[in-house]
Amino acid sequence: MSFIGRSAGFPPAGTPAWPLCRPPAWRGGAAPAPTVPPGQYWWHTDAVFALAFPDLRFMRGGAELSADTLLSVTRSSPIILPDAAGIYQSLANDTLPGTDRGLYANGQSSRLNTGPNFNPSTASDFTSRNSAALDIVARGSWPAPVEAAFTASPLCNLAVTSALRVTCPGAAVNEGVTFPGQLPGNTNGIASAFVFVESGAKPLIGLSATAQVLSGAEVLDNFERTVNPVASSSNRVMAIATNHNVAAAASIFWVILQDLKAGTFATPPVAHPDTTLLASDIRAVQGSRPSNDQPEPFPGWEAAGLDAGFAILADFENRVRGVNSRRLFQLSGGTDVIVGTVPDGTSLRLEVGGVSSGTTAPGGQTGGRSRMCARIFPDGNVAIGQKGSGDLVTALRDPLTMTHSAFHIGNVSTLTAPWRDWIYELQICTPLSDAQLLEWVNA
Amino acid sequence: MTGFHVYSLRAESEAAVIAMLEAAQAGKPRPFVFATEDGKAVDASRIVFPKPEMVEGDPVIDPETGEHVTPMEPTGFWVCEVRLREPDAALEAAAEGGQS
Repeated sequence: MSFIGRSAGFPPAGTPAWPLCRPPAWRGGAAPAPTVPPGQYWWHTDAVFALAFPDLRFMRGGAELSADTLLSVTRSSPIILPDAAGIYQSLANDTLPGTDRGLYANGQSSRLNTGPNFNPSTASDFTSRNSAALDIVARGSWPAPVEAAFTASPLCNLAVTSALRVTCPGAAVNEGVTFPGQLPGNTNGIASAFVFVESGAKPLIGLSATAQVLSGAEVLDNFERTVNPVASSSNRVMAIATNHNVAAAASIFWVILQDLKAGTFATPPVAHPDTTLLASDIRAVQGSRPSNDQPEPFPGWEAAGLDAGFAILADFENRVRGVNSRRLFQLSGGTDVIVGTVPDGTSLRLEVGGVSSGTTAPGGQTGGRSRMCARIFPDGNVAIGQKGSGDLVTALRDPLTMTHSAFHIGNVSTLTAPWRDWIYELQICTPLSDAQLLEWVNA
Repeated sequence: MTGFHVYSLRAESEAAVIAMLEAAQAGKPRPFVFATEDGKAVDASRIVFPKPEMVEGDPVIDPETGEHVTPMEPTGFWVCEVRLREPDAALEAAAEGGQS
């Protein structure tokens, strides 16, 4: 016989001091951030882990924390990314590749220009075309219009201390500069550079004889050209020069951050001073499971009951197409849970336990900003949805092993499938209903 | 690459470079080489992908453009570069031109 009864002396009233979806602090849960009044959270009501890069706000277990506290990154090279205002930011080795524009999960890529492209110091690193004079000019000696253009350009935040000046006498066709490094024949490529035209006509940019007209006015211009398939067995070099068919008048232009990459996909918004940009291995900082001291994807995972099921919400950009499958995230250590694209980038897919166990989201991907949601239960009941869809797609997979230990963001554990586009928001929640998931993705 | 210990590996094949990395990762918490569905992959956040070693060949005239070009030619060896925060004795021993 039990003598435990329900006391009427403690009527439920007031506002709890912790989110109802999580255990209170004295039962192992984290305390909510004291600065955020209940009901005014920016994250989903049932979120346990949330990243919002455009707002530079990050949460775990109800407490707002810094990005560095929640995330770790390994990348043995610097990276340059634009922020929300389009201003380039230089981010050092092992620094989170994120700005107020979002998180950019880059993979490894190499400049085919093998010479310096940022603060060059030696003119002989470059090759003159048809008597053009090449000079490295230190900042401080730049003409006022050049200084003004750089100061007003997206490069203004970078420590630009020197630039390559190309002086074309106007005595011959195709005067300019050739950069070291080659694009293999029969390979698509992308040539880009920041160019300021100080005087004279706008130059052309391209590969060998396939130069193309530089766009923009006489201002520093982030010029990019996707070079069409080079149906040639010959390797190609990148050049910026006056018209190669018609002699142009004398001109002077300045170059920085010239870049040549192989590939056919949309140019990623990324630049790098090293010849090779290494991948960003972005992970949530792990926690330790209270039950057995084994690692968990982040502190509070087990305490929040996520081994019994969870939901994931993501807000992202998907402009990159035509390459292998790319992954938004992976939970590893138990049965792999991955969301990414199908190989051509036109749809999202939830993979539970392998590619062959993939569930494709309803509708396609338009190539722009979108949202997705997914829900996973240990018995194999899974669901995925995305913005614009009125329903989720559900499937029954094999039961999952819920011993997840790592949360990889913008890639998978083997770093073979970088997202290579912006991720604005990512949240892990306790399981949400169909209506809740659809409400979030279509908000 | 300020602050990194850089190790350049060179071997007669890609598989041999991978084998050098696998030998050097023994006992380390984070591997240099991952097993994937498509074969072995190196840690792309710390290792420049192995590639054929290339040197400049003899200058020739490109028949399509008429320009002088210097084609790159493979030496037959493969190279890769490992960039680490901490020094690594195993890689130091394996590298031909280790530098810090």
